[in-house]
Amino acid sequence: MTCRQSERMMLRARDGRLAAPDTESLEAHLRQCPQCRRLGEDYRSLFLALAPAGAPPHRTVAWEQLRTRIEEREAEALRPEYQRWALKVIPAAVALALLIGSASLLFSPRPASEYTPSEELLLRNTNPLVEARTILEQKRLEDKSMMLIFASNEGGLSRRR
Amino acid sequence: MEERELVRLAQQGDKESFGLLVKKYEKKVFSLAFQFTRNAAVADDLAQEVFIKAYFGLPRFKGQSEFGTWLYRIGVNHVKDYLRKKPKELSLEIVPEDRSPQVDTLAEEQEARKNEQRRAVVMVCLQELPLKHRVILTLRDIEGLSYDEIARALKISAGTVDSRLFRARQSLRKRVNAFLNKERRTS
Repeated sequence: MTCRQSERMMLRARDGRLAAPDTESLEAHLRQCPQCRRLGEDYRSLFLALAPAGAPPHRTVAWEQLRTRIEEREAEALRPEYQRWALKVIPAAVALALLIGSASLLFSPRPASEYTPSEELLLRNTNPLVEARTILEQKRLEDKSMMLIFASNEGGLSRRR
Repeated sequence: MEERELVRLAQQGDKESFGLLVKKYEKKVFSLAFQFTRNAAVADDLAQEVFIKAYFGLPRFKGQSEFGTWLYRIGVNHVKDYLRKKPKELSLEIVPEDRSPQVDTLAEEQEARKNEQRRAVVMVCLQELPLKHRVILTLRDIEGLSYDEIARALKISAGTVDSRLFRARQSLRKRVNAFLNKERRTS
């Protein structure tokens, strides 16, 4: 008998599953093999440590509490499908609305200025006629015309709405 | 009333009958959960969840096995699920039990303390084993189930119980010895 076979037989013997002839050959092997005897000791102390110290603490299942939990789950299972969906969909819809609201606030275009360029210059305490004077002081007629055209275009774009 | 009749009534939604079945098996289910978790409060919760699962699983129970075996299988699977989700948490919950006998001499006291330490080491090593080894060791060497009962609870053959149990015990012994040897070297 090999030591590996002996180990397996020791454990079978412990469970009462070893046939009589095998028990005899195991005992014979153990008499001559100190290594397997040590192994047997290891297993004995292992099983001693595993054995429960006594009955586990006595607890009873709280039947009333268990019954309530069962009834709650039954009610949950019986609830109409749309109600179960509603419970999931409503919070999601509220969250989505909040998200869209905050995004539109964050990315909405700023209101266009309500003042003409001249009014804005006056508000900044700047003379609005400087630009007009520059145009009027042009010597060449073509330059004057072109500057007037550009100035009128700018004024048209930001005209008071 | 016979158990079969209680099961039949419970299957029809009679909660009082199911309550009687709970009463009959509460100790067994709690003990199973407790031996795996070593925590009475957690075992309480697990036992309740096992009974809830059993109640809602009753329509699928065809009576091909005993109700107790079927319930035990639900219990083992539920505890396995729990252990898969919370293995780390559990390993911190090991509290050595006060199992020292009345000791008269100093030598006996030292021996008792040594045994207690060994037990704590064994329990830590047990929790580090792969789940299938841990389950089979708990069912056989702590709960004391027979090979046939384990085979039915785990839906495996008696031959598989034999070989898996051998590997699990061998693995646990090696781990415990390695742990103790390491401890001896450091102290």
